[in-house]
Amino acid sequence: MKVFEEKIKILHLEDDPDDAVMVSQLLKKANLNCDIKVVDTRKKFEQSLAEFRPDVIISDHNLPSFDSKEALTILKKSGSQLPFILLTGTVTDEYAIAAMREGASDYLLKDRPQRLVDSIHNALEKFRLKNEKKEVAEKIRKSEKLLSNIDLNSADMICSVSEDDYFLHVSAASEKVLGYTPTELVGKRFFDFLYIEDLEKTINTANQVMDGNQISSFENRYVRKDGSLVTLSWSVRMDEVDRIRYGVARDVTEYKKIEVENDKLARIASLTVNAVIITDAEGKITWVNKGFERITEYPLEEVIGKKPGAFLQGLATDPVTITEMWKSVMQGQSFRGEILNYGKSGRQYWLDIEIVPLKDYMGKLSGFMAVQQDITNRKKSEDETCDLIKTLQKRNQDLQQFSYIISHNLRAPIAKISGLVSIVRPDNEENKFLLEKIVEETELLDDVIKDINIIISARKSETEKLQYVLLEPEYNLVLQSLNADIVKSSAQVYHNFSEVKGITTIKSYLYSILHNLISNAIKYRQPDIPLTIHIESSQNENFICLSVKDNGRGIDLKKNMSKIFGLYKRFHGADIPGKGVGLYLVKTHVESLGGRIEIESKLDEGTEFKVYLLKNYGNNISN
Amino acid sequence: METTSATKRIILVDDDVITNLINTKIITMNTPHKVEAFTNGNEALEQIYNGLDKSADKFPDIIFLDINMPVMDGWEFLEQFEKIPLATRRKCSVFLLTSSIDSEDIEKSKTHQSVCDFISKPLTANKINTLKNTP
Repeated sequence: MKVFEEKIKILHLEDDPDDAVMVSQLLKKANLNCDIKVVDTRKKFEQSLAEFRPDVIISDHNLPSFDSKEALTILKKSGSQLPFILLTGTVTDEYAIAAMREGASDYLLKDRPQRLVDSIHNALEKFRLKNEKKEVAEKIRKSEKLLSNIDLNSADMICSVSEDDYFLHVSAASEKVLGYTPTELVGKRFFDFLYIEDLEKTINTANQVMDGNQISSFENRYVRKDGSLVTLSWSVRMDEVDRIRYGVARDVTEYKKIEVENDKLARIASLTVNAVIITDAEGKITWVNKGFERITEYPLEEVIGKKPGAFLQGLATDPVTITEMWKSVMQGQSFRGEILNYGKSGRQYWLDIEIVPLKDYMGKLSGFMAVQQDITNRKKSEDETCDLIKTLQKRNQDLQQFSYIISHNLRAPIAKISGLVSIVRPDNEENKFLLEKIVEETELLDDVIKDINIIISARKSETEKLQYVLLEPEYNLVLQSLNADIVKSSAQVYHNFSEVKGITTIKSYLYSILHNLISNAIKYRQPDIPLTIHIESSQNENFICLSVKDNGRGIDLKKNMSKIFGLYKRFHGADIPGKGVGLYLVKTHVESLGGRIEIESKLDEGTEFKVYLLKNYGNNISN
Repeated sequence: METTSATKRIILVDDDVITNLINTKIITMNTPHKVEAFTNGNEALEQIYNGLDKSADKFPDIIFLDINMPVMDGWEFLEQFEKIPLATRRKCSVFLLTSSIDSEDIEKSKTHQSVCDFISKPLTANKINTLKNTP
C-alpha cells in the first residue's frame, strides 16, 4: 500500500476547467504530493481507471455524459475499492446520503473546498486501512490454513483440554493414535480413555500442569477404540489466561517395547556373573558390568576410555591369541577363544572370551561387546587331569617293566628248582612221591608266573597291532593246537563264519579268546554225552558277535555269576583241571578291544558264550 | 631228529653255577655225552680255540648257550664264534637257552645262522632227546 510520501494519483472527474484548476491549486497549496488527471467523459473515466490507476477519485456530480452515481457504479463494477470523493455544487442531502450509501467515501461542497485535502487523506487512510485489513485477513486465513494443515497432517496428536478435563480440540491424528476420530473425542473427558493403571500418575502430572508447570516426555497409556493399549509421550502446557491445557502426544508404544528389551538386556548384563564389556568402534571401553569389576578387580570408573588389552593382558598371555583377537576385531568379525588375563592385583585367570561387533541401524560399526567367562577352575582341573593321566601312564609303564623284571627273576629260580629236583635220585617210594609233588607245585608256580605276564601284557593293547583277521584260519589254528584234547574227548566242533568272515582286531587276542573258550568247552563237557561245540559269527549295527555254544555241564549262573570271570575263581570240583584263569583272560582281552562278553547257561544242558567286539574299534582308538 | 649213540662233546655256557650243575647232571644222567661247563663266554671260546690248535675233531658238537650273561652275553659270544671258519664249525649245533620267550630275541636269533633253535629253561631230559639238530 502506498505511503503518503509517495505520489498520490488523483483522477478528477470534472468538465469545468476552472473547477479543475481550483482543485489542483488547492491541493498544491496544501503541499500534497500528487498527480492529477482530469477526465470528463465516461469513456475517458473508464480508460483512466485501467491505465492511470488512480489512488483516489474526486468527482463532480454533474457531467455531461454521466453523473457521479454512474461513475460510482462503474467503479464498483470494476471491482475496485478506490476512495471516491464527491465534490459538487448543489445536491440535495438525500442525494448526498445516497451517494455515501453507494460507496462514496466522502462528500464535499465546491464552495467549501478546504476540507478537500483532509478528505483525501482520510479517504486514502480509510482505503489503506481497508487494504491492510484485507491483507491481515488474508494472512490470518493463510496462517489458519497452515495450522489446519499441520493439525491435519501431524502424526503426533495435537489437542487442547479444558480446565475441567474435557477435550476441546483434537487433531486428525487421534484416529491413528487412539482409534477415535476427533469428533468422537471432543466433549469427552480425556480421563475416560486413560488406562486405569496410569490414572494416579496422570492425575498428579495434570495437577502439576495446572499449577503452571510445563511437562514434556510424560508417558502414560491409553485404551484405544479396539481395546489395545498405546503408550503416549506428552508435552503439555497450560495457558494461564484461559486455563486451557495444550498438548502434543506421540505414540511411543513401539519405542517402549525396544526400551523394555534393552532394559532386560541391561539387567541381564549387569546381573550375570560373566564379565560384559562394551567398547566404542575404536575399542575403548564405554561400559562394564559388575561381573567385570568382580573378575578383573577394576571398577568401572578406572577403566572407561581405556582399551581392555592395554591393562588386562600380561607376560603369560599367549601372543598368538592376542594377534588372532585383534585380527578379527579389526575386520569387524566375531572372535571366540581362551585367553589368560591379569586382575588388578596381578592375579592370573583364564577366560573364555567372545567378542561380537555392534552395528548401528545403518550397518556401520559402532562398537564391540565382549562376554568373558572365568574358566580358571576348569582349566586347572583340565591341567590336573592331564597331569594325572601322565602320572598314570608313567606308573603303568613302570608297572609293565616291573612285572617283566619280576617274572623274569622269578622264573629263573623256578627253572633251577625244577632242574635240581630232576637230578635228585630218590632212595625210597615216599621220597619219590614227595619229589613228584615238588615238581608239580613248581610247574604250577611257573604257570602262574607265565599267566601273570600274559595278563599284564594283555592290558597294554595299544601297543599291539590292529589288523583285519580272517576268522576261519585262526579257528583252524586253535583246533590244531587243541587237537589232542579234541580227539581225546571225541568232540564234534562246527563253525559258521558265513555272516562275518573277519574282523579288525588284535590277532593274538582273537586267537586267545577262541582258544580259551573252546578249551573250556572241552574241559567242562558232560562225561556221558558226546560233546558238540558250535562256533558262529554274526553282526549288528555296531558289534560283531562270536558265539561259542556247547552241550556241556553248564554253570549255575545264580550261584556263580560273580565268580565266572574272576581270576583264579573255580567252582567245579578238583576233578576238572583248570586254574581259573582262562575266562578271566578272555574277559580282559575282550574288554581291551572295547567289547563285552555275555554268558547263558543251564546246568546239565550247556553253555553259550557270546563275545561282542566293536566293529570300528580301529577308527575309535585312532581318533 | 634223535641223537646218535655216539658220544658227543657238549659245551655249556651259562653264568649261573647251579644251572650248569643241573644241566651237566641231566645230560650225563640221560645220555652218554661228555659235558664241559663254563660260566664265562671268553673262557669257553678259549677252550674252543685251544681245541682247534690241537685237532679239528676236538671241536664241540653241541653248544648250549645262555643269552643273558655279564661280561659277554650270548650274542657277543655268537659274533666271536661265527668268526671261526664255517667248514670247521659246520658240525656244531648251537642252542640258545632262555628263561623267557622274547619275540625280540627270537627275531635276533634268526640273524645268526649258526643257531639251530631256542630252548626255554630248564633243560630237561625230554628236551634233550627231542633236539633238532639241523640249523
